[in-house]
Amino acid sequence: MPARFFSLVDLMCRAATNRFTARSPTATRPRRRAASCRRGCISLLGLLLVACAGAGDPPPAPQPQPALRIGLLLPPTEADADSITQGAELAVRELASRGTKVELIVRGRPGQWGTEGDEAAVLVHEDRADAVLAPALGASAHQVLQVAGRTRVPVVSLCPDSSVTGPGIPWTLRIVPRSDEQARAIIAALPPSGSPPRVAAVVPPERAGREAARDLMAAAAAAGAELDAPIVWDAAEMVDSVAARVRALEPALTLLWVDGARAAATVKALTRARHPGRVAVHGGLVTPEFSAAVQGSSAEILAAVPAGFGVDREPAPNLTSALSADAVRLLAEVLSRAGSSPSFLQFPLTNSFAGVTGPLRFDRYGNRVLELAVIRWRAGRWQTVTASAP
Amino acid sequence: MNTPKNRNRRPEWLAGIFLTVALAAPAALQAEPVVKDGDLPMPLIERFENFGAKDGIPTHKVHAVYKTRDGHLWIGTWDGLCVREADGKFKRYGPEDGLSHKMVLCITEDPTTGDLWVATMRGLNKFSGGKFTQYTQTNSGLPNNVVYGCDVLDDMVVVATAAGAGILNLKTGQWRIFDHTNSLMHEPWCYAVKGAKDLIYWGIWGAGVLEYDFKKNTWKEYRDPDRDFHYDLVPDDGLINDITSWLSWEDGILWQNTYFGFTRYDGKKFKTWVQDQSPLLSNFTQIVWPHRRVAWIGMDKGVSVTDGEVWVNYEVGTDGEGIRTIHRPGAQPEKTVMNTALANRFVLGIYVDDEEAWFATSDGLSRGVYANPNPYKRLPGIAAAP
Repeated sequence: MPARFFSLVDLMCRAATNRFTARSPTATRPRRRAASCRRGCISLLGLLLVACAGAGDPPPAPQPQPALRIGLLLPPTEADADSITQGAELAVRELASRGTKVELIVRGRPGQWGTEGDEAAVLVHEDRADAVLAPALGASAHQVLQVAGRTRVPVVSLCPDSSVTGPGIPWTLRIVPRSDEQARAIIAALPPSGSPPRVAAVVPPERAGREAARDLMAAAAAAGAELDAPIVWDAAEMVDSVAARVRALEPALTLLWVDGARAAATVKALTRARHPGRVAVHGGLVTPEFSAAVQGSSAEILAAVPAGFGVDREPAPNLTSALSADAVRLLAEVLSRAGSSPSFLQFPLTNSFAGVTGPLRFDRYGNRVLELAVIRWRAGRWQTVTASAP
Repeated sequence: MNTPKNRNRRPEWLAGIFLTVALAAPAALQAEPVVKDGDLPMPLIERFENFGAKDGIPTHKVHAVYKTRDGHLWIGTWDGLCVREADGKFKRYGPEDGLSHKMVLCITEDPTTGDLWVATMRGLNKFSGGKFTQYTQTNSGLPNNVVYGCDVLDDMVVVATAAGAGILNLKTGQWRIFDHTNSLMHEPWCYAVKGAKDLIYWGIWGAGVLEYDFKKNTWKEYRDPDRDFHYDLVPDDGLINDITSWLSWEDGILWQNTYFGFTRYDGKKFKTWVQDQSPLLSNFTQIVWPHRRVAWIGMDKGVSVTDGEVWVNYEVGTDGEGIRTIHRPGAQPEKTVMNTALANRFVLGIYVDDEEAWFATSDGLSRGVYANPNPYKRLPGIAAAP
């Protein structure tokens, strides 16, 4: 048979075996299933070819579908930029293998406050993005949402701040679990004791810290834990000083809601000081980079991730990357369904989509509805401890 | 006994009535409903006229509409600024004509000079003498290029941008910039602005409304007291929500749009409305145009018009028909099917005066024609226009 025929069969097999299912993007393709599928496809295609032979006019050539354009705003200060890009590109490749062309347009430049709004406007107007993936930084995410509010361009956000879904714009979604949801799940997984657990929190300065502090305090209150004002880690403060402030509070649990480098340094400092309390990090640090940074430490670290996201594997999982991939897939699905009609009319989404991080379902405010699993970093790898209801 | 079987055996006289009604129905449907609006505090729209590509509008997405004092109608679209000419066609101005960006978000007029001020996704523009002058972050003191709103008050042009509030002194050309570092602004994201005699109101994304007394140089903040984004825990206790999607002020009354309801503040008391507990068509409100103390509210489900007591709603039915519903306090809603409807139920911009109402929608421009010409002349007790 001609080579073109085999390549078509391969494409069909790939489309059949690479469906948008709850499967890790790093998992290998099941070869046996593909081989079986290939045989079936050859038969089917053969029958079709026989049926079509001599059937009159050749069928009209399929109209090339224009690529879906998804904008990705990544300001230079975005700590998760590499993971986000990696996940988004992975999704684009997978979608392409299934015949859905997606063009990823990445923007983000240094500038004053408000530059992200400017960049989001450029993505929508000059780059003609059909939808936008907003970053994990809350300030950036809000500026994308503001542009979306006026332009009606769908947005999926990777920011865990609860305020991101505060506006309630129907065509804006948050795909990551909120900070308060994560913290509450972690606190609930603590071994029971006779009294409310004492919790400390370390947050960055300024706006990001304010947002995290508000969410963590809400989580502690909801979980029946004691959390005083979080420790704000100013840029000039050394890690040992922060660790000393944590130890002075004698917490049973310390929530490290800071970037990976600072969280890893704090974990090590607390371990050196033989701090008896547990430490936890936000899900954005379930990355190979953070895993490498705490490798060799005897510390036990907790985190809460979507229950559908398997962490017990090698290489170290990257939750941000997986969420980014899910976001691109979700947007592509919504845009494809919308066709030529305005895509914002597809919202609010009422049905569930399958994702590599579990089912993608959203409430009427755009928050993802999901179960969380508490995971533990010990002996050089993440392990699932417990799953909790949303 | 009224079983399904004998229910079909209707008397002959009933069939006669059905026949009469059936013959009369088409005529009744075609005729415009008789409008009795003399007791209403706002004019009733009896029909809509819609405008789109056939009229020279370059795109179906219309974001802003404004009629200048010389009678010209201007619209801001996804693809340029347009003015309606004598022949009824719209003439477009785009970046090639000097406009700083093609997407126009807000239009206002300097009542003294007649200059037009145009807020866009990248920069502020003055249209004067047929020419555009651009104000951007790099060539002026504009706080940020994304200009969501603008207004003219005395010798000042005030702007709401994605990174702060700005005041341009038209006499000196000097800018003053306010953000979270030098004002009460909790967040620097300004989403709307309106001048109000000695005050300027900014609608802040995530921080309610800021009032600036520019003579005293003092600030006052209005916030949602419960700070809850999704629920108004106590009605009428303050702003309904901290994320202000638009605001306006007229004759002593401040009106606030949010995506979770609508607020009125008369300087003493707050009044809030949500869709489940009032005739407000939707909580997702995006624009308000006050006229003679009546708010014309645009949202994702049409238009609600209210003085706070009486409401008139304009919706688009599933078959594209117009639906007008009058809600009077203590009375059953009066629903009327109209022969014409808004171009689209998603309303983004509104302009209203004594003669007509205009609506910028997600799919074209609409003109609302009043049932009675000069309705305010017939209404006793309505305050004179400020």
